[in-house]
Amino acid sequence: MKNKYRKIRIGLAVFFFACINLFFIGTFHIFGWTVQMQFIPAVLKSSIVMIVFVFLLTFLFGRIYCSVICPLGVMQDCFIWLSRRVNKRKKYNYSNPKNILRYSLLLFFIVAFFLGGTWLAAIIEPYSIYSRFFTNLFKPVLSVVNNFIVPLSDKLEWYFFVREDIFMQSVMALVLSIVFFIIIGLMAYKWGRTWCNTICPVGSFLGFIGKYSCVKITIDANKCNHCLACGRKCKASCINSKEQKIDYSRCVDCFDCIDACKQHALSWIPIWTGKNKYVVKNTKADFLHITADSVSQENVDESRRHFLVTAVLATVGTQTAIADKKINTVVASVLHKQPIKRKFPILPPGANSLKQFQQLCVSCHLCINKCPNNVLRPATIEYGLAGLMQPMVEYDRGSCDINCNICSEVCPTGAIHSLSLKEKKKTQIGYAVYTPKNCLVLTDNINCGNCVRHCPVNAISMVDWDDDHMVPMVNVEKCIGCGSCEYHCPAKPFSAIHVEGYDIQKKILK
Amino acid sequence: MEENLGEKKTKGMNRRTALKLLTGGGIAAFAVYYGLSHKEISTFLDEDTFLENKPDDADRVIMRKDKITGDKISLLGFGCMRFPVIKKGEPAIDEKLSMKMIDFGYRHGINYFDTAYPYHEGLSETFIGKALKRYDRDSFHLADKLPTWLIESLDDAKRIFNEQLRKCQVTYFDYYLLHALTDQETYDHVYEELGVLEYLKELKVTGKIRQLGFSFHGDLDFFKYLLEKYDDWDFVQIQYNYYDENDPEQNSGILYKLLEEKDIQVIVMEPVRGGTLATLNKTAVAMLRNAEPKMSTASWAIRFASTPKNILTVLSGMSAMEQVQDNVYTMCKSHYKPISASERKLLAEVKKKFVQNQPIDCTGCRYCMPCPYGVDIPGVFKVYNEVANDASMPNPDNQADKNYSYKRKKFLTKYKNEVSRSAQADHCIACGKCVKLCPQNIQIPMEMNKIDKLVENLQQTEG
Repeated sequence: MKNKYRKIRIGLAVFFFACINLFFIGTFHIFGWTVQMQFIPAVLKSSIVMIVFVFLLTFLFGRIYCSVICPLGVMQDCFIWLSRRVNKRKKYNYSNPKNILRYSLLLFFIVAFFLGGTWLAAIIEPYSIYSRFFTNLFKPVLSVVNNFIVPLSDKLEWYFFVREDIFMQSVMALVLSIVFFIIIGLMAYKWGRTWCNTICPVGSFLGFIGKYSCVKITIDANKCNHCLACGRKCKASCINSKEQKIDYSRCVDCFDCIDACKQHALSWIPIWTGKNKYVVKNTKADFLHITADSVSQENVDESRRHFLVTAVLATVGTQTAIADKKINTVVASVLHKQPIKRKFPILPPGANSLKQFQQLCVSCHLCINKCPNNVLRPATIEYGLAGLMQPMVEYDRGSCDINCNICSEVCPTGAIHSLSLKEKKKTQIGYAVYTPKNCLVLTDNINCGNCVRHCPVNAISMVDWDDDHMVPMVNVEKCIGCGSCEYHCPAKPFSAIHVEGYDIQKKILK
Repeated sequence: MEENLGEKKTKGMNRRTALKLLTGGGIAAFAVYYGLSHKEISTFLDEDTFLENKPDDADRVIMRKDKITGDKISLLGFGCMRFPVIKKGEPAIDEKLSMKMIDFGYRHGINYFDTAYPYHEGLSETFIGKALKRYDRDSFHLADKLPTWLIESLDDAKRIFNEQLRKCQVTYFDYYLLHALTDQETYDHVYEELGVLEYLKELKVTGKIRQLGFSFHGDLDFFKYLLEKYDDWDFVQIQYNYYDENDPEQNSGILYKLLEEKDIQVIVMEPVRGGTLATLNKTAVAMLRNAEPKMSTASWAIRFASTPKNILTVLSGMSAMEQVQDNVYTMCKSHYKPISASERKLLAEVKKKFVQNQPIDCTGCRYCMPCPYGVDIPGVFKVYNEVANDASMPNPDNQADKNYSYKRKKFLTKYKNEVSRSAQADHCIACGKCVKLCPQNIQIPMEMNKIDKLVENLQQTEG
């Protein structure tokens, strides 16, 4: 019975991890909540319920989030498990926390976010890292497997598997994913949860709360025989066995240590039970040696209360800041009725404005993964440096289906606003521009009109070019920028009709 | 261990031998079957040629009386546009086989032969002349047509008419038609202004033409105009079949009624709609089989076209011996029966099923490829036809169908899996290059547009 916590933790982690991956794979929309639970997306989406939940969870029980909900954390646990399988004597050693590094990274993360550098912050945001792995690394592999099954499935008349196009979406995103996968994988394999406890901003932030959590791993000093086994087992390198101290800011509640202790000196118990007097509290930082006796119960409570107040205020502040920006953009989109005539990349429908989009998008590439027509791609420098890896619309492999709002539905951060199908049909993400010199009418001297035939909103009409030929004319008021004309234009290599994006998306008002 | 190895070895040998035997046997069986079936047909044909005695009266095609001349005309006419050819896609006629087909038909009472200047690129007239020369001129009726589109002067008409007489090796035509009248402008120019109609009337007086009519491919107004302009038409040839009887483009039902009112006798062309009504699809065929197990699918179309009383003969462009036999069987005295009211209803049902699941005549010969715009034409048609032949074509207008969601999924999945995105029907720009190359004369751009619209509609409905 003593290791039931560990079993529960592993069970939950496997369940969450399976759910989120099934959701990523595609057909399992019912698992969307796994993504909604991710902390940074929840903050960006101002999803108060989730934020409060994660706060409370961490405040009550420590960094369970990092062990169960965070897919990158569970992925690292897989590597750790592997390393233990390979090397049965795998040992970890206590290390001093790299507090300067981790808190400055956390600070950098927050500052980057507030100064509009979400793309930069996103590079170390754990959920989006994992989601990027999936879209850029795992998905192509799964697609290959899928395409192998397709003929069989069709032969058996299942019609469940649809062939998927496998293509290079973005060299940069792929390279970055590979590099991060190797770095994080290797780090996990060698040093356990070091990534989570030095670089990951969510880890640092939750660690901050975790320090004050109500239920903690405690070492019973009376039972402890200083065998150091718990410290060696700790993948977070947070148990200083020699001094019987635990750095709770780094403990991810994996409960591995409980099993490791032959003396049954470790237990996961609320701090207000008697045993806690033996535990060293790291109220400031654990390199300040404060003995268990010198920390009074009152002090701890005091600091916890301070912390709670600060945390709540900070959250409210953040949310107000985000809400403020949202209101601004909505107003702006109503004011701008005339299309902005300049070369501009196309934002996904529901992004509303470039500013808001870049503020909220953590480049998790979930929309890219889910887009059924392969319309979304990670941007390289199309948005400028400030939009690196954020999704943009490209019409070379398909057009944005007027009856599809999947990207807006799955976006966990609200960077792509949730649009109903009705709204989607009226959302103008750009406008088509006709370039006569590329058109088959001029180059091949034949009539075509494929753009007109495929315009879902009848925004294009044919006008006389000469006696025998007709060319398209775009009604920008009606055009929603879905790119059907651009995709269906037979002119090669450049479409004779293409879409220019709006930096603030518009709605067609009836 | 060693034993095991040994076992494996013998097993492997066995399998190999078995495979060899199977393959060899298969090839042999196929060869025997092929040889036999081929032999069967040829012996049948050879025996048939030697069969001097005339078939029973009951095995002969039934006759209708020409209201003007009083001649007896077989209700089944031999169309001379689709003789078997030596090489697919080329006009040269397989004369030996065609001759046998004509002989078979003739002996079974067919006495109406319908040729025209452009058929088989001009070879049809020459051939039919050669074939019919062996018979008594009074025992058959020959129809020929003046190619309206080639006439630029009266001299053209005279030259062509005389050329036709020469090629057909006859001194007169029993029936002569203004070929393929499509619009008033051309008709007025060629027949009125150039005086060609006057010339043809003269020929009728001199006896080089016994009866004058026209074959029609235009709209309803033009048809009425023709009937009023000249009220001495001996007969009119129209398309008439159960598929487009009520089609707004063809109007064949209305055309027939107009002719009946004017008491002008009708000759039917395209009763099987270029062979379409001979193949249909699984469901439609099953419905017909269910009603008349012994009759072919095409027989229904022929019977339908021959049912109205004012119809003189139904032309069938037969291109295989089996088709002649089948048609004769349908139309002979012992088997022929007109379409009844209940059968009419059945045909309407059949048509409905067929329209929903109509396959495209694509044989996958790939003559049309490569498409300059990357469309996988045979691939798209293959998917469409597979679904059509399964009678599982989803109909977005009938979503109440309880199988709709499965049908939709099946169609879309098959389409996506078998045709890559950039080769799908939506990339067809209707340039028409493929149409000229298609030996089946499929209107590829039109079909592509139809499939594209279907896919679009399916994608917009929820499964």
